[in-house]
Amino acid sequence: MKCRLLIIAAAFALSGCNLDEHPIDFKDPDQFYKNDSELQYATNGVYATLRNNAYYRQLFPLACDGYIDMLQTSNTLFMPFQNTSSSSGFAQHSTLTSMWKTLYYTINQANILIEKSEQAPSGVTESLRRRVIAEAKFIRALTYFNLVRAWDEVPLRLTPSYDFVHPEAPLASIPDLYKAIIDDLKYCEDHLWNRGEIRDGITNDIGRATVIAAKMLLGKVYLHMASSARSSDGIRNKAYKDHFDPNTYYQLCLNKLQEVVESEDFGLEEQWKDIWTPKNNGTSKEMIFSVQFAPIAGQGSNYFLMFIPKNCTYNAPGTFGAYGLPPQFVKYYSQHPNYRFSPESTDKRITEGLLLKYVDKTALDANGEMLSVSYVRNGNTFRYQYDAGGSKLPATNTVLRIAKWLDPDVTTAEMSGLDWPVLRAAEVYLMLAEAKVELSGNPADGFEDYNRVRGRCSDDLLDEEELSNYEGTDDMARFREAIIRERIFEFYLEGYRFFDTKRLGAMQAAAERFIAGGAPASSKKKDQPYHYYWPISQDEIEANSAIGSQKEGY
Amino acid sequence: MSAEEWATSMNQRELNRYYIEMTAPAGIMTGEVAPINLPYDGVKNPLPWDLPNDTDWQDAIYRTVFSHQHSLQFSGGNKTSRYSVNLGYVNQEGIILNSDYERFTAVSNYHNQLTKRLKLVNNVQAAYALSNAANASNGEVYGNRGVVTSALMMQPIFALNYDYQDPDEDDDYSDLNYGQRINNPYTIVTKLVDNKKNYSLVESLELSYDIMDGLTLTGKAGVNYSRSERNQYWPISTTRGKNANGVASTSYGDLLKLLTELRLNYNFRIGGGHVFDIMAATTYESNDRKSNYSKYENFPSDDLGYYQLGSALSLFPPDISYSENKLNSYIGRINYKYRDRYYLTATFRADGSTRFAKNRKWGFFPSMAFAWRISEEQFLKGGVVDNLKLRMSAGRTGSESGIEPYMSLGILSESSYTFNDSKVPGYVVSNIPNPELTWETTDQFDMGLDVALFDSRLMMTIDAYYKRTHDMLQNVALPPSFGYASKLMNMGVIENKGLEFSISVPVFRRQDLNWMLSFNGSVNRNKLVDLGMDNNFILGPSIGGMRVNRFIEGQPLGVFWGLKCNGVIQTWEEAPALEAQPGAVPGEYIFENIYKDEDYQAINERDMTIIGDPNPDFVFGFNSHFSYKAFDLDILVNGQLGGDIFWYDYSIMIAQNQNYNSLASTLTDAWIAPIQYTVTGKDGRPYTIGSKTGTIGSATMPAARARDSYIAGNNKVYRNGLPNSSNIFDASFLRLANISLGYTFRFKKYLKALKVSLSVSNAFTLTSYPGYDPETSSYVKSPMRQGIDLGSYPSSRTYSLNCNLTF
Repeated sequence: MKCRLLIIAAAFALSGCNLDEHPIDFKDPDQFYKNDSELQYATNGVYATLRNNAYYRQLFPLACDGYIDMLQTSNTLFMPFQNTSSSSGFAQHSTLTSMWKTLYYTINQANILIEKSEQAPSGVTESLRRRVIAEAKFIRALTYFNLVRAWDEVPLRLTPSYDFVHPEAPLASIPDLYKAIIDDLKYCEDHLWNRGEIRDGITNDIGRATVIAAKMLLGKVYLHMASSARSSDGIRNKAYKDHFDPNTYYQLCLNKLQEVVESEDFGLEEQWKDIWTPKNNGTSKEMIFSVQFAPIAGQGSNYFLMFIPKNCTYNAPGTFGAYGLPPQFVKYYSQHPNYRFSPESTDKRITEGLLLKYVDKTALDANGEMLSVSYVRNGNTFRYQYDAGGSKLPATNTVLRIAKWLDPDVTTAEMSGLDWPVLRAAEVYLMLAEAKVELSGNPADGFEDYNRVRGRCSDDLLDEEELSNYEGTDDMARFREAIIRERIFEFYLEGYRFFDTKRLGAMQAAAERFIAGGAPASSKKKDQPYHYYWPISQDEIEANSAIGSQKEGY
Repeated sequence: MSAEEWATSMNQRELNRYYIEMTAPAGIMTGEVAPINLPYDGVKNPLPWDLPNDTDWQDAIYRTVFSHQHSLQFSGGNKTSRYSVNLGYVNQEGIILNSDYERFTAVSNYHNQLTKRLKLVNNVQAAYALSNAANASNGEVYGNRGVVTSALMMQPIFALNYDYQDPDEDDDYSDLNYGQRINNPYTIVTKLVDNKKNYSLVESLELSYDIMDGLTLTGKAGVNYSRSERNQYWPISTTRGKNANGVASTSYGDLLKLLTELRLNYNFRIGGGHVFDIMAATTYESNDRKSNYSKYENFPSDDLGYYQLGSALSLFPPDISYSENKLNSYIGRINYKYRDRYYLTATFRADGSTRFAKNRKWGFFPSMAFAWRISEEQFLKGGVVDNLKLRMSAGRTGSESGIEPYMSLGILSESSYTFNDSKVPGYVVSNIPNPELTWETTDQFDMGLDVALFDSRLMMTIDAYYKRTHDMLQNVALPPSFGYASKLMNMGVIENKGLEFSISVPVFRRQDLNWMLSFNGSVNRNKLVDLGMDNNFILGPSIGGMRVNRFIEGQPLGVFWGLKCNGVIQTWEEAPALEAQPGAVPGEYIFENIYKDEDYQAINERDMTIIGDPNPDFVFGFNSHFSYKAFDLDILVNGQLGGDIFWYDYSIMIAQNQNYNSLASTLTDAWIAPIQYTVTGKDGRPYTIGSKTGTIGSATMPAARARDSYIAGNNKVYRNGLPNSSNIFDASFLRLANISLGYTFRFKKYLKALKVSLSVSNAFTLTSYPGYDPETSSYVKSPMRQGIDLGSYPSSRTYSLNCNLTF
């Protein structure tokens, strides 16, 4: 009996089990970041956050263009950005909330990488450790720059988020945000590597942030600060006027961009169309920094699908083919001989970048063959078809579809290798022209740099005579108008429009033209100070007690 | 709406726009009034009544179906062993076209008294089920809504086999749908291949050994393996398939569950009436899961569906996950009984779960229960009271709430990238550790009374309870700037109190006439007492960008939060009074301006308030069992009083937008402009369209309006985009859930009995809820989204004939 009881007691005692968890399909972050490869893998993961749908894969650049006048869509994704003076619902809108969430997701992942790399053991290659930290800081600076431009004051988080019981963070002032951005980029200048550089046996892959990417972004930051302060009316962009001296920052911008131009890594693609060739755009020097995509399942982009017409023989399905340039925008910006969104234009950015002649999918040329847009190569002529003689001009009510993102090699969604251009060499020259002219007060000082960009696509160069045709009270105002126009033609639908009109004080005028051109009357007028920034996501306000209330006006 | 009604409402939109713009007081219009341009005017398009198609999409995808099920049972045994075998087969067709369900089951039970002291019990259960899923509701809000929703929303003017690939019709369709292509629901149900299979095998073996009188040791072991598979193919004829030249996906999940239990029971008696039953047990459970999802796109043809995945040109990396969790418990219990009068139970259990954080894995849960059968006391014996029992209990219980494993750990997830078109590995930190994650515990106090009176002609049970749950396991929404949208944590205190009762009255209790009536009801009130955070509320989950449910301190759980809607603006005279709705025009909702601020008067998110409560006030049921000789009749009624439903699609379904069908009630209840307009049809004859009187003064729904208008400050789209109280409906209902009539034939030879019965379930429902089903919840598994109707599979009325043979 005693023996039996003992056995029973032993059985009970042994029946306990170890309750520790041993996951096998993911790693423990605390056991990672220990060697060179792991640091690089973690860095790749942070780059990949830029590809989120709410960031550079689709929503963020389109929302920036669509917010002013550049995006035609009936898609509900951009409704509150485009329509009506009312603020209600904007802060809760799915596009706004997902962008806000996604940009901060990137920030936090960059913060984690910085902290973990700093703590990585001494066995890792020192130059790589610093490069990795710099890459994370570059992505963080880029993302804060996007945040501060779109939302003005936002929470500034520079350390990883661990304390979820106290997740609050107050809004940081605009000077504090810029200080953080500039500090990060200065670190990047010192510690990023050059394009393709091999250091300590490690290669800096094409597509990673480079020294000139940091310098160019820093120049762009300075220009945004300078021009926003310069154009401020004391209400809009007030913080810029109060804290930043325009000339100081124009000068900083100029100095920084001159370093960029002198770099060996800098180069303008000779032919504009070559920027947009999927095979080329990953390696082109024009792409100073781009978000990388590849024609590999799960790694591809979708831009080519968004802007082509419906009913292409290509399967343009669902919401795709939904975007283009709005007719009212096209109408206004087709009036000047040098700037025409129409087949009459000789500018290659128009003839090669737009689907001007598209009519329907059965169009045949004189020989009875289907036509494709002129630069589509490798014989793949059945995918995009346009009418023969170019006899049909786009009617004013026609949405202009975009050809610069065409990818003839692709037959299914999410499989294009087209990269998203974040920083393009062409912009360096336009920024140089702007900074030089703002500093000297003489528009002619900007012509050379300005015409490097236009001259690539057109024989009509900017000169005194052309300048006199633009709207404006004086030459400086006319030159700024020329800058805005050139930026439209060079960068349409690359996500520049909101920030360009905001920093140049041109938002209200752009919206007025757009509405006067026959845009839906429900279009936002952009005449209120609060139109210069977007509302903070309602989810943030409600869960972050350090913020308190929504931004003024919303 | 029929096609004619729908086209009429499209015309009405245009008439409404024109009327509003023409009658607008000076200063309100910002542009010129566009002339009337009816979409269905008999010239561009046919007149409403001449439309070639009139498709009722609901008719097209729903059907009356036939189901059958059979089961066969044998049992037998001898002195030392017993066995039973049960074979079953079920074949159900779904009420959505092409959906069905088939299941085979085999169950065997075996008991054997091996020796005087040793007993063996073996149970085996095997099942195989296969079904064609209907892609009914998938919880998605945008393009890929399930067929239930698209059948409600697809415009009736398209032909049943309408195919947007047809170039001639494409523009027509595309214009109406703003360039977006929504699948024709009939195409989905007829073309989509969506097969599910499920296999399971459950084996459990139990051995018990009587060590001595009253002392038994039992060992039990079980294995439970199940595998579920789902294979889908979206052919090129569906929108999703067209996107990618055919999309196939295959997925499976494996679950291996092991259970062991060791239990010691000891019964003994002391003196006259002290009876003890003591139990000690330890149990152990482990769950091993593996799941695999792979997707393939771009097929050369539709012919082989998902059977030849190798021919796909795009193969995506499979998404595979593994997880394991274990649960270990020690249980001790003492039952004490004295002369059938006093009962006392004390239980203590310790549960350890791998799911919680290190050092927080164990929970300790004691409880006590006491019962007093007063009717056994001398002073009550022999009276009208047959049974009177007072019960009381207090205890603590723990819950893992089905949380995922590994949620207390930091997680590094795969996030690959490419450089120069080559894929490189990448990782991100997708979860941060929660070193405090532990059991959710509930302290509960119960008190109950069982009463039987008058020779058991009246039986009653009544229970009252009070529960306080703390350390609730919740996925709490964090500020998005934190970098993670939500975090699973223990937080807050909620309180539940309630009353449950049931009454049974045997009206007749005779040899061949029996009638038993019973009624039960329950009332529960819950309240969020404290969140333990800086905020005094947390947001519910987002449903299509709307966060409808909210958890507020001091309020019931999951109350609906939105704008309060106070009817519809009838005339221009009413509009200017609404200072908070600048630019409002007749035919729009009036919202209550709750947040009044000098700077900012317009209706916005700050005017949102509690607009409903999904928690029912009272839930009840009524049951009648009647039998007379060989007949029997059963009736089951259930119902609910109070409780609200947020019908997500309602605002879309009354909006009379061109891209959706609308509820037919909008034809009479919506705001309609009092104008008529005469058009000349193709045949040269005049046709009058519109209503002379309109509905001004009586409209309860907003007006159909073309999207763009030239009214200043036209911002209705967004105000209507916020959740508002017009989507809230009372979920009270009374349902005849089942009625069944049976007759039993008895035989002397070969066959013992044959029972034939006819029953109707879900026979009818009395409710004011205009959606499909007031008992619906699209998110059954998500307690955070109570009372939301987002197109779930409607419940159907079922007629069934049952035959039961006994040999």
